[in-house]
Amino acid sequence: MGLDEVFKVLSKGVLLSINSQKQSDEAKFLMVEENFDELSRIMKQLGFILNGENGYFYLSKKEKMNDVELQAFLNNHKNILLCIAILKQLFPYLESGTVLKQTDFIVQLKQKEDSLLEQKFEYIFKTQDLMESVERFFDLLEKNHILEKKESDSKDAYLVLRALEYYVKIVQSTVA
Amino acid sequence: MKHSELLKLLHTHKESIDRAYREGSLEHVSGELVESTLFVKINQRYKLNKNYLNFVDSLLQRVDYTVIFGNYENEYKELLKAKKRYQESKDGYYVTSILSLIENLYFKFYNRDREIGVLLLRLQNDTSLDIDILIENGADILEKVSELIEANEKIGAFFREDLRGVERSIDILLQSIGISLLGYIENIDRYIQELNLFLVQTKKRRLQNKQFMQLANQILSEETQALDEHLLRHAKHLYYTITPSQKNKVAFLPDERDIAKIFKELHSLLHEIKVVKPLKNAPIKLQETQKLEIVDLEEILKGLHQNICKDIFLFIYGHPQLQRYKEQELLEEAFKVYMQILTCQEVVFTQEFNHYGIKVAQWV
Repeated sequence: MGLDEVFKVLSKGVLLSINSQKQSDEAKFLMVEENFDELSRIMKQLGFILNGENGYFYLSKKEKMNDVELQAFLNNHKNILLCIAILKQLFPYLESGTVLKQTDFIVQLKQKEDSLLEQKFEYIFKTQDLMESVERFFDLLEKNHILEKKESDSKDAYLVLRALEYYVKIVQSTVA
Repeated sequence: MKHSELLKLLHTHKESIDRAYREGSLEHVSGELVESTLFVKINQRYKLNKNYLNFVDSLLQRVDYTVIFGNYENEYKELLKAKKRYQESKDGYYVTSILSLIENLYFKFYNRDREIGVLLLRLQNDTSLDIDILIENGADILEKVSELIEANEKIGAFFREDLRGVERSIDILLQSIGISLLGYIENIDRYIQELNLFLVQTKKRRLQNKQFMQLANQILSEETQALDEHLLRHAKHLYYTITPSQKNKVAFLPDERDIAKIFKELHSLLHEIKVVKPLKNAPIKLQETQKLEIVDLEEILKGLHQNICKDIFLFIYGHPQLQRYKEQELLEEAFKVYMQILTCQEVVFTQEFNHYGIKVAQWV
């Protein structure tokens, strides 16, 4: 594992969690202070900031966004925050490291029969088809590095990644 | 009933006892089980005796949140009484009573330590209960455990100071349980610390969940001013987050100053490089004189004008201009000339094909 390989992952806009199983080598590499400092120095020269926060790493760049980008940025965050709110409503004890099963998720969802939950799904996915929404829900959280498939061949079990804390931080800064 | 008979009874009825343990009660049980007081009839159903349940739960480390720890007041009073009577009478009967009471207290300490440990583990891993109820249970257990501190210390001091030197066998027993007992007393402080930590973390999680719900409701009702402002304030730092939704890449483009710098450096670098021209060792092919053989088309056309020709192709094929060609080459050359002549106005096609498979054309 070297700087180039870690950069290759981070440059794709990945939130690299220290409890990720798929990217454990990259995370372990960055947890070594010398490696983090070295990559941080190089990134700074290129105009990026290497962020190492509460159990996750990511690259950012100080650059002004246009209106379309800004809107996409806000919507993307709102959708993910709503997804996490759904998870927390169904599984109050959920935290990074929790193993979540899609089947349990569906069972909980059906048991709750909460109109607010349905409203959240509709807001994010613009559909009333619950099963379609569930598929897309897990895809969205996986693409945004909050969930990771526990085993590549199993579709049911997902690991909650440390990157969840990125959104927890936003909530704590926004809600009194 | 002898102990061995009780064990036999348990073995004989193990299935109904196990079912009663798992299901809570049974409609019918054997009379032997009721006579032995293992089962008690309550509200038309038979339930396992609480003493048996306590014993089994303790061995299986199953502790309910509603467990009552109680204190050691009764044993303490009995010990004081027995000590006083022994000191007055020096009767060995009271020594036996004191030893038995000390053992009872030791078992209580031992079982409570296990129960608290199991309860703590259960609290920390329980995800089935509503988070508010779990916090209430945790707070109740903390209260019960805290109450034990004073009682534990009272008994500890009593064993160390008041019972020492009363009688040798008592001293030996106290000596043998002393270290373990001290461990159980000290464990209480650790349990209280862990319970406090658990309560703080669970309350924090409850608050976090509430904050997520609150923010979700704000998003749904489009009251997101605070969230938008926060995100906008940090947008520059969080820039990467919009890219996955677009190209899944962070693009970095150098500005003009960087490009100029790169050009300058490249320019100076390229000047320093000495280019050695490679020697060409490619074989040189000698020029060959090629004799061009041209068919005189005019001559053939002249011949066509002068002769009545039923098949132009056959005429060309047999013409002296193509005499130097043989077989396939002759056929190919004849066909090339034939194709050139076909463009002339005098040429008329028939419906037939000659034996070369070429459409018959005539000169008119």
